[in-house]
Amino acid sequence: MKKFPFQKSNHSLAPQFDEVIQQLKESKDFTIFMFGIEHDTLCISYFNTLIDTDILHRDLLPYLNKSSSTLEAAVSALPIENLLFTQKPADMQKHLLTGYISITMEGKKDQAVLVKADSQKSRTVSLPEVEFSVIGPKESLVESLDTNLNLIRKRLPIQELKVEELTVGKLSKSRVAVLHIDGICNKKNVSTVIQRISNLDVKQIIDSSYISQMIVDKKNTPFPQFIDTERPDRLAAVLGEGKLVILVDGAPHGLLGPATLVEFFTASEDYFLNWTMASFFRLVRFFAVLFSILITPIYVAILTYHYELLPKNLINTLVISRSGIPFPPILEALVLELVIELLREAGARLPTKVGQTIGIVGGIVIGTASVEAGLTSNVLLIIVALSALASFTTPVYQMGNTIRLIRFPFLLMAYYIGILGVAISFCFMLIHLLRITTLGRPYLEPLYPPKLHSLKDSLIRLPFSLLSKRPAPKQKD
Amino acid sequence: MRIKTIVLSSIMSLFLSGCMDIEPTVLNEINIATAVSYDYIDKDHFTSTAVIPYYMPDKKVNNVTFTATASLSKDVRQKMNQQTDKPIYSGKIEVILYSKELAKHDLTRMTDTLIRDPSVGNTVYLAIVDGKAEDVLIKQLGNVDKGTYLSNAIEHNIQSGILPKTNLHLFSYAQNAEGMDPFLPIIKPKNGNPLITGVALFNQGEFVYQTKEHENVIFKMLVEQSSNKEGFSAKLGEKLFASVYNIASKVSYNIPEPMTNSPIIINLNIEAVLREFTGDKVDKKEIRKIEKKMENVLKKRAEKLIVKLQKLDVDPLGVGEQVRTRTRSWDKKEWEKLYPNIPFQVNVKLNILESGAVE
Amino acid sequence: MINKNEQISPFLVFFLVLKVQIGVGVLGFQRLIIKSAGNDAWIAVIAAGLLFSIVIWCMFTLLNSQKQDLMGIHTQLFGKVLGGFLNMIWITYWLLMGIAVYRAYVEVVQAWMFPQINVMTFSIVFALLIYYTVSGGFQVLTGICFLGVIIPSYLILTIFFPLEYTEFRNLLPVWNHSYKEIALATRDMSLSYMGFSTLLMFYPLIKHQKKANKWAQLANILSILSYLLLTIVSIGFYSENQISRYVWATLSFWSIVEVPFIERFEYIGIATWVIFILPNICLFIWAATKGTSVLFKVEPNRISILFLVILIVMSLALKDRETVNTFQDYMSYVGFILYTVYIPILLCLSYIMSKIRKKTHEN
Repeated sequence: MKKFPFQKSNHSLAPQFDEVIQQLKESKDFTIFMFGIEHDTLCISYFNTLIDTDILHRDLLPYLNKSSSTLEAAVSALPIENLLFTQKPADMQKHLLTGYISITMEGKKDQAVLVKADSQKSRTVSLPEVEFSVIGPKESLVESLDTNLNLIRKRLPIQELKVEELTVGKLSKSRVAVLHIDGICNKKNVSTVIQRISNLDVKQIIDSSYISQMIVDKKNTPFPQFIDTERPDRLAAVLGEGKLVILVDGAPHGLLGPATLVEFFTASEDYFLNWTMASFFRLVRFFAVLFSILITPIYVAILTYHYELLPKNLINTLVISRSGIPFPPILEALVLELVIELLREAGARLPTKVGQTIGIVGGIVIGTASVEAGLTSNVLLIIVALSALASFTTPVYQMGNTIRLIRFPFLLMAYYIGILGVAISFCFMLIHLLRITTLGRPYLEPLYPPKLHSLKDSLIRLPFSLLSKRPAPKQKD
Repeated sequence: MRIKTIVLSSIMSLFLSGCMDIEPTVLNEINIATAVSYDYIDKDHFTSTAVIPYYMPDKKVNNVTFTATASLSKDVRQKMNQQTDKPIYSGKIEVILYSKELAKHDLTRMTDTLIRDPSVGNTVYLAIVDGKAEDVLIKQLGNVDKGTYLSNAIEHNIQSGILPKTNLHLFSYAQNAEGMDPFLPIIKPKNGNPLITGVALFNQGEFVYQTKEHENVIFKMLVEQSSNKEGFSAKLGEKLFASVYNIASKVSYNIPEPMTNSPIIINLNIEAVLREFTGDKVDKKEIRKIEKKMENVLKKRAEKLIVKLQKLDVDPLGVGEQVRTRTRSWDKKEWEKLYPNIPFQVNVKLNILESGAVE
Repeated sequence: MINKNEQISPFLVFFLVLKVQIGVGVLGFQRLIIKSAGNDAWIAVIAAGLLFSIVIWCMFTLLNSQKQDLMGIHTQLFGKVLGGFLNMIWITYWLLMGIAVYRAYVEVVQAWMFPQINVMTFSIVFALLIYYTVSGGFQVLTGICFLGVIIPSYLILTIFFPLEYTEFRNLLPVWNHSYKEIALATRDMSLSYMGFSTLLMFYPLIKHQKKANKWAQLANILSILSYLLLTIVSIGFYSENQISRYVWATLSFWSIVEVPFIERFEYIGIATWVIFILPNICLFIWAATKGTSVLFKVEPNRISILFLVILIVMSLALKDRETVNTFQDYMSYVGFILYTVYIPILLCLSYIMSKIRKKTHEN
C-alpha cells in the first residue's frame, strides 16, 4: 500500500494521518511546523510550492487560536470561508496535493482541517491568438479552469447553466468540466459524454485535445468531431444552441460538441458581420476548401491523361511551363506538396520571427530557384501555393490539417485513373463523411439528413430575424 | 473487419500501381496536332499534313508540319509517328482542311472517322481548300499555332463576316438530315495566306458548287438568323451607291401547300444601318427610296441564288426540312423529284434604322 | 424490430426513387426511342413515365396493405418454398441489375476515356467503394443517394450550351408516327425508368410510410421532366439519321460545351457520373444483400462481399459491347415483365387473399 500513495484509499487499509504526512515529507517542498504545548500542539503542513504564502501569513497564522484544546476552537477565528473538516486521511492527501493547508492537532489524530490557499499562478486573460477576429470580443481562455468557467458564466448568468466536474488521469488528476444548459441540451448527449470521460483509463490529460481524441464516436478518421476553440464567446454562443462544452484544467482551449462538418467552417466573426458579408465569406471558405482538395489532383489528372480538356490558350502556357522538366506531373506535385508541408512544419516549430524568415526563404527563394533550375513548373507552384493558402482559410485549426492530409490520396488516385480517380476518391470521402457520427448525430447534418431550418445557418448565414429557430433542434430522449 | 479493409486497400494500392494499364498522355510528352489537311492523290490514296506547334520557352510557337500518304486516316497517323519525336494525338485538332479535289470524291468517308473518334470534339471546323490543302498550313503566320490561327479566322468570319455557322456537328447534321445538304467554308491559299472566299456547297458528301462573292451575304441571310458587320452594298442608279450593314435579319418560310408544286414563299426581314451613300442628302423620303431599291436588289439576288441551287439540285438552305416539318405526307424520294421545279418567291423587307452620325 | 434510427423520413424516398430512375441510361437513351418514334419520341417519354407512375402506385398499395417488404409478402402469400423461390428471382434480378448498370458505365469509360483500362483493377476499386457504402447501412445509402442527386445537379446547366444549335422545328409535325411505333418506343423508354423496385425492400425502413407514395410520385414526375427535356433538346440538336449513329447522345452534347477554362466537357461528365451511378449500383446490391440475408439468415456483410466478387467476375465475363448489349436487353425484358406484369398480379393476389382471409375470419 505504501508503494502506491496515489491510489485511492481502501477503507480497511486506510493510512492514518501520520502516515500520509510521513509519505509526503519525502518531498523537499513539503513543509511541516508545529507550535503550542504538549498535547495541544497544532501541526500545520502544506506544499510550499503549491500554496499562496500570503494567505498563510496574512490570514491564517495571526488568527489561529494557539491555546485552545480542540481543533474547532483553534480555527474558529479564521477569516476564511470554506474550512473543510475531514476524517479521511486520503481526503487530506488529495487536498494537500492541490494547494490546501492542513491543520491537525497532535492529540486528536482522527480529524484535520483543510484550508484552501492555492496560489493562482496563471496567465491573465489575453487576446485570442488562433481565432483572432477584428471585431467582436477579445477575450480568450486561459489555463485555469476556474477563470475559464468564470468567463463563460459571466456570459450566461442563468441557473440552467450546469457544470459537472470530473477528475481524469492517474497521474495528472486533471479536472474536467462538462457544461451544458439544462432544457436546451440533449440529456442523452451529456450522459454519454460524462460516461465516456469517466471511463477513460489514462495516466495524464495534458490538454483538452486528449479528451476530444479519446471520446469521439469514430476514432479512425482524420476529421475532427469536436471543435477546439479559445473563444469564451463562441463557447457561450453554442451552449445556447444546445451543445455541450468540455473544459479541462490546464488547457486554454475548450471543446464543443457534437460538432458537424459545416460548423468547422463557421467563424465567430460570421455573426459579427452583416449577413450578406458573412454568407459571402462562408461560401468563399467552402469554395476554398474544395479548391484546396481538388485543384492539385485535377492538375495531375489533366496533365497526365486528359490534355483534351484544356482550352487551346491554356495548353500553350502549360506546355511552356513544363518544357524541360524531367519529372512526371505526379512526382512534381507530390514533391511540391511535401515541400509546402515541410515549410509549414518548420515554421510551426520555430519562434515567430524565425518562422517568418523560413516562410520567405521557402516561399520565394526555393520556389523561384526551383522553377529557374527547371525542376518544377511555375504553374504548379502557383497551384500548390494557392491550395495551401486556401487550406488555411478554415477557422478551426484541426480542419485545416485534415484538408491538407486528405489531398494526398486524391493525388495518388488522380495519377492512377486520372479524373475518374479524383471522382472515386471524392466518393470515398463522401461515404466516409456519411459514416461518421458525432455523439450519435450524423456528421453531415444539416446537409444530410437535410434540415431546412438549420440550413439557414450552414453554408450561408441568413439574417438573425430568420434564424429564430435554433439550428440544433431540441431532441427528446 | 477494419484490419481486413486496411490490408485489402494496401494490397490494392500495390496492385493499382502496376495494373491499371492506362496509357498516360503527359502534356509535354506528346505532339498535339492542331490542324490537319487532306489532299487527293487517287481514288484510294490521299496525302495528309498535320501541323504540330512546338512551344518554345521564350513563348514563341514554331509550327512544324508532317506529311504522309496512305489510304486510311489512322494509317496516316502511324506513318506520321514514324517521323516525329513524340507520338501525335488528335484530341485538340481545331481545323480540318480538305482539298476541293478530294471533296469532289465524297467526304462522307473522311468525316465518318472523325465522328467515330471520341477524342475529336464536335466543334472542330471543317473547311475546303480551293487548291492544294497543304499550302494553307505551311506558312507560319504570327506567333500562334496554325490551328488556332485558322480556327480564329473562321470564327470571326462567322461572328461578323460572310460565313454562316459551321462545324463538324452541323456538317454531320445536314448530311444526315433528309431535307438538307451540308456546306463548308472555302479557303483559298494566296501566297500561303489563307483567304476565306465563300461557301462550298455539297450534295450529301460531294462537293458541287462554290459561291461567288456577291452571293455570300445573301446566302448567309437565307441560311440563318444573322447579324453581319460586313453588310452589303448596291448600285441604286447612275453613280448612286448605298451601303448598309445588317444588324439583324430574319428568315421565315410560308409554305401554303407542302409537297406539291405550288410556290414556296420566303420572307426575309432585315434591319440595317446606313453606312455609305453617294447621294446628297438623306431624309426620310430618301431612306424609303433606298430601302425600296435595295429590297429589289436583294430579292433579285436571292431568287437568282435559289434558282441556281435548284439547278444544282442541292438544298443547303434546308427547304426540305421546312417542308418535312409542315406535312404528314413527307416522302424523301418524291421531294427530291419536286425540288428542282418548285417556284420560289422571296419577299424582302428592309428597314433602315439609323443613318449614321450625320443627316 | 426496426431501429428508429435506421428509419428515414418519407421525403428522402424522393431521392431514392429519383436516383435509381436517372442512371447510366441518361447518357444514351435517346437513340433507342428516336429510332422507333422519331420526332414523337417525347410522347413515348411521357407515356412510359405515366405507366410507371401507375406501377409505383401499385407497389405502394401492395406495401401499404401488407406492411412488410417483398420477402415477407412472398412468404405470407405463397408459403416458405414457393415464396423463397420467388424471392430468389427478385434477388437475382437486383444483383444482375447492379451488374448491368456497372458494366454499362465501364463501357462508357472504355469507349470515351481509357480504351485500355484494366477492367479487373477498376472493378476492384469500385467494388471496394460499393462495399464501403453498403456496409455503412441504409442511412449511409440514403445519404449517398441524396448527395448523388444534389452534387451532379449542376450538370443540368450544360443543357443551355447545345441550345445554340437546336432546331425545335424538328419536333413538328406532332404525331406522325403510328401507335405501334410509339408503343415500341414506350417500351424501350421504360428501361430508363426502371430500378425503383428496390422500394419493395426498403419500404419498412421509411417512417410514416403512407406519405412516401406522394414523394415517390413526385420523383417519377421529375424524372419524366428531365428525360423529356433531354429528349426534346436531342430531337432538336440532332437530325434523325444522325442520332441513330450516336451510342451516347448526351455525351456528344457535352462536347459542344466550352467554358474559358475547360473544353470537352464530356470528360468531366463521365467523372461526375461516378457519383451519379454509385448510389444506383449500391441500392441494387443492398436490396439483393438484404433479401439474401433475410432468406438464408446470414450476416449481410459476407453476402455483399460474395455479391461484389460476382460483380467483378461478371464484368470481366461480359467482354465486348455486343455481349453487354445483349445482357442489357435481356435484363430490361425481364425487368419490364417484373414491373408491369408481376407487380399488378401480386397486388391482385394479395387483395384476393386478404378478402378470403377476412371472409374466413368472419365465418
